[in-house]
Amino acid sequence: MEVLFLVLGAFGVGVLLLALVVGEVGDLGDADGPFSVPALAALAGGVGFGGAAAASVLPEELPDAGRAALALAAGLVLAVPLAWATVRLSRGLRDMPTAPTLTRSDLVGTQGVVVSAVPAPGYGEVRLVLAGQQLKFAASSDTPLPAGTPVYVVEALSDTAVHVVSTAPDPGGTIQWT
Amino acid sequence: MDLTLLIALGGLAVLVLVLVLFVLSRIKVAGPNQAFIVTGRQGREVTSAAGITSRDASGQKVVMGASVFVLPVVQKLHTLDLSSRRIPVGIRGAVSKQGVKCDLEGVAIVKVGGTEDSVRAAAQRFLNQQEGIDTFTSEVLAGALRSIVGRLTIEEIIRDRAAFASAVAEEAESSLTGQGLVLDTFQLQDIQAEGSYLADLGRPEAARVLKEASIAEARARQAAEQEQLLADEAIAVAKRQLALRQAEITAETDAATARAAAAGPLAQAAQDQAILAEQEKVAVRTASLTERQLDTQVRRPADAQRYKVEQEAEARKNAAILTAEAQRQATIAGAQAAAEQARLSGEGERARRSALAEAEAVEGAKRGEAEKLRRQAVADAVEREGTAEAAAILARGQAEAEALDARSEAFAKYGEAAVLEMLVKVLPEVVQAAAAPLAGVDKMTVISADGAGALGRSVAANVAQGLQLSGDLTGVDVAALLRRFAADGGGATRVPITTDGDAPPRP
Repeated sequence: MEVLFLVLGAFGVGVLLLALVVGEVGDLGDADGPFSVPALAALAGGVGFGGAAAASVLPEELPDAGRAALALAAGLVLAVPLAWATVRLSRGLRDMPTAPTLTRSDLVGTQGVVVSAVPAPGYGEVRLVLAGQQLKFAASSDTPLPAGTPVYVVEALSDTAVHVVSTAPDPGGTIQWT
Repeated sequence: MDLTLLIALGGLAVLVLVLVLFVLSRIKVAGPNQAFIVTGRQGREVTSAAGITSRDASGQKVVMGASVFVLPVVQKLHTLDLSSRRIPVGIRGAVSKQGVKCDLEGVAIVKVGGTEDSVRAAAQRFLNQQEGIDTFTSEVLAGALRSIVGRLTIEEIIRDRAAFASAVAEEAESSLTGQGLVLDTFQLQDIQAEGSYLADLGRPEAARVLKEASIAEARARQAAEQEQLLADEAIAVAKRQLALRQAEITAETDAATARAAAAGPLAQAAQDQAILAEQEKVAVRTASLTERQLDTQVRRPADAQRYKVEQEAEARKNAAILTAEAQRQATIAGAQAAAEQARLSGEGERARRSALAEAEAVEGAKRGEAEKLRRQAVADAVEREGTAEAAAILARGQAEAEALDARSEAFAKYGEAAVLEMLVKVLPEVVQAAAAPLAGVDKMTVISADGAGALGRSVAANVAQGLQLSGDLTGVDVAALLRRFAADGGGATRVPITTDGDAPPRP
């Protein structure tokens, strides 16, 4: 009888190891529910190993049926929380926070410098420091900007183009008030 | 039993461990060059202003360089490579703004954009054909490059990086951004223009550099040559000075040597010269004494003797001349008178008269010959008597020549008037000569219807014939001269030649 419980526990562990090595197996339709592979494997393993442990410590004087029932109960008592914990862990990790990805809206408000002169109509090139990385963007401006002018992004025209204004201290050189 | 309990407890532990590992294995970590797109979740519900409710794309989670938990079965994770891609771009036969055909080769560095939208757009297009990005982008960029070249001149493409970058950015913005691709950089590697356009672009500068190099070379050579010539000149000057100095020294040395050598002979010569000078003085004084003695003893008496002889010879000569002249004139007149007498006496008498005249002529000639011989003797005597007489005659001849010159000048000056005056002076003598034959007539009988007046007409006819004869011989019409003189009035009185009328008239 103990051997049966041990085989059941080994089956659960084997399923997990198999899934771990070769990837997800089975198509049970429930990824993180009570019927997911880890939950079921935890239940089986918990019942098997818990039942075997209970059976080994029960007195021999009890009848086999009683011992089996008691061992199964003890195994379930151990297995159900284990399965529940597994499901909770999986659900908790599912919504774990990740590093944010850049979007177009992040471009607005960043500062940079002109690396290739910006003509009044047409595109120049600016280098922006954004989220710890240097990125080069095509840039347009209302006024011509020579290379080296510090700029401020006021609009993201596309994922690769921005509209900039100069933040150079000399108003006459870069910003024309008409 | 204990063994079973141990196995069960160990299995439980392994189970828990494997469970944790299994759950954590669902967390995927993206590399720095990867983007994860996790699909399968539902997007958020959004309601547009028009009231239409839809789900956005937030169920498609984009993760770059971070970890994400991927549920099995219900979620699917896709990986997009963000690495840069080197894409060669080459076009042939592109036409520039100026119409010049050119071939270009460039290289573009393209990657999937780093923003969420770019990754989503690129994932839609290239997720399962990421190798296709290269060919796709290459074709798009070739078209873009052709458009860029068409908007720029070749000089701008080569030199104006900003203009080229601007054009590239504009093209990339319209063609690549929508695909979620970013053109990191675009560089031209080679440009070949049709014909020799590019080579011609550099030729002015090359020519300028060549010209400057040639000029610099020429100037350097000029400077070197000038310095060389200056050095040669300096050397020549120094050599000349050296030679001059050597010559000077040699000359000085030679002069000193010569002086030293000549000192002895010079002293001897000076001594001899002094002696000779003294001797010369003695000789001079001796000569002077001798001359004075000669003067006193010989020359003065000779002069006195010569003068005496001269005076005597002069007197004799004048007497002889006058005597001969008188005899000649008497002879001539006698002959003429005889001739006239013979002619007038008749034809028979003429022969006798002629013979008589001949005899007379012979006698006159002999007499003249004798006179000539005698005068020659006198002249010889005079010549022998003193050479000084010749000097005297010469001096007188000179004086006469001067007088003649003066007269000639006067004649030349007064021309016909002077000749006339001379003629007038001579006329009385002519008339006298014409009348002379009559003088020789002892007794004359005039047989004429006109009476004694025929005698005067004979004289007048003689004169007229003489004048006519002289006019025929000399060509001077004396009668006409006389008439013109008479017509001029008293002009003869004003002729200055009357003042020297004391001079003997020239025959």
